[in-house]
Amino acid sequence: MTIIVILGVFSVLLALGVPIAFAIGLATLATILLSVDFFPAVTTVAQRMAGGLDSFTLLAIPLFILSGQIMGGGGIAKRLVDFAKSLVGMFPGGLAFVNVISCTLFGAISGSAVAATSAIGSFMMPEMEKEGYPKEFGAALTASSSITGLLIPPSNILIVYAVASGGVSIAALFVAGYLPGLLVALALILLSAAYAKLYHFPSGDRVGVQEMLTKAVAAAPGLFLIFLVIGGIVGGVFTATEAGAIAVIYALALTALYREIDMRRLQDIFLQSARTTAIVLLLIAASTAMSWILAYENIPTTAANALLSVSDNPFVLLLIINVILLIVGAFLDMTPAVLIFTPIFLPVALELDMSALHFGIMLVLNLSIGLCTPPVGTVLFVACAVGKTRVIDIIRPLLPMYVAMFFALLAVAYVPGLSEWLPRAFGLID
Amino acid sequence: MIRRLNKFIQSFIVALLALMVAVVSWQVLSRYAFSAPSAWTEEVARIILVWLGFLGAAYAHAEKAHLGIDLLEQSLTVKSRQLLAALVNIIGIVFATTVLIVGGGLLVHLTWELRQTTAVLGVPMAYVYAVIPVSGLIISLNSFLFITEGERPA
Repeated sequence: MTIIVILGVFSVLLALGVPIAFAIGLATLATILLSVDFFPAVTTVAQRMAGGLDSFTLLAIPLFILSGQIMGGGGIAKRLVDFAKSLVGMFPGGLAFVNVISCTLFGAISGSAVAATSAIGSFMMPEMEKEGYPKEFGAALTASSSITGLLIPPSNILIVYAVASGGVSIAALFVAGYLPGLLVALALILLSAAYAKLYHFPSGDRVGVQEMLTKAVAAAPGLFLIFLVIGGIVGGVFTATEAGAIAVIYALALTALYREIDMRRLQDIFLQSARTTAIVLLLIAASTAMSWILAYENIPTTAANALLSVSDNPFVLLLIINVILLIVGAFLDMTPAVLIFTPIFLPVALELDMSALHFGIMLVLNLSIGLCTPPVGTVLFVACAVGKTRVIDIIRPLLPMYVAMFFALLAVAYVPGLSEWLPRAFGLID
Repeated sequence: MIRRLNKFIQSFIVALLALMVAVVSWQVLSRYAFSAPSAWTEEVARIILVWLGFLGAAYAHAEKAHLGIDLLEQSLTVKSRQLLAALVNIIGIVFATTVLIVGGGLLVHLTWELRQTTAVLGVPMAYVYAVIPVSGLIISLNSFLFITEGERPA
């Protein structure tokens, strides 16, 4: 009964076009109303929503969103693109490689895929189009390469998972994301190479070692953020939240040095970041409430038992979980998906002897594919807006990219070492 | 009038975000530079987060920035589109009124009666939670504005 009400109310509201966070909140309320009177019910929802935000760990999210926006607008993104161009621009299809590598580098200093898409995309998409790449391909490639930044730290969604899983270490999750993130980037580079051969994409100019070095030096201050932020967190010098504040201050200082944004523009960046943050925070608040009522109604246990009764083959179960998550990811934004489905699937994963760390990385990679798929795909929408194209037009070039990402997902799901080897080498897990 | 309110909220959340950066930076600085970790920074930052979340959500709603699915809307005629938009806005008002205004209001009342305060600074929790009904009110007002103007919802 509970599950019918929660799913029914949620999907009807979603289909009507009600904002997702409102739909989650109302579905939660409807479920609580089944067993509790109106006034205590609404108070409970409000209390769970506020409680969901009252967390020092979550504070890292607005800070990383802000630092990402500052770096995107303040000349740091441009220097990363120039550096990547000097590295791989001369190959056939060079700009496609530059796109993937720039998005990956940007992902390594910022925490959100949307920031990468708009920051790198606004440089790369017009340039690729000018050089004769189909503009739909440029937009599709930017969207899919941007998701590498969700795995490569700092990553806001890994912070959300750390909260949802009830205590997987952020430092371990951050380090664990590197190899899977690079794997996705590699898959997309290989795909671009195949495209380049097939469609005779142009090569850029060959640059000398001298210029390569100049570009590397120019990009170095931006890339130093990797050592500052990740080094600080992994070394236990500061928490992820404090690292977020340090990233903001560092990005501001660098931007002031580059003199590429003025006070007005800066205010705009703060406003945009506050807005983006609030959208995520409201989703977190509402999802926390929904996750609470699901747990209260014992849904996670019921779901876990149902899954385990379907099959006891770990290989099959993992595949089922991934297929369900891919479908979920297409319809639900990532943050609520992580908060609602972690309590449901994590116990099953643990039953299969998967570590919570490994499961988290797989979950994030899986759901991040959904960011590039309609009907709800934030990254997809931003890529279309930046690239001035339509969702329906970039689906075709995206199809092979989905396949590439799916293979990367299978590798991450079935090879625990991809997620666990690096954090173990750093002594973050045993 | 509502627009001026939105403008004010806009400046307010920018200030909140800037304040958050300052407070968390101060936390790091005080711990390493003065080796005197401050206890209040974490609490203040968390209160700011709750405020930013709810007020920012109200602002994002006014800007129609919340995520939603627009498949149904796109497949409709202009006339039914307006009807759907009105319906979605009414649902928005229902959510804002029940959960945020009534639920949040009761929560404020309850924590005030119980004299719940924050651990370090002793700020009444009612002040922290007061942002919930306020943002509910703003969301309702803006939804109402959308309906009267016949615009599409967020």
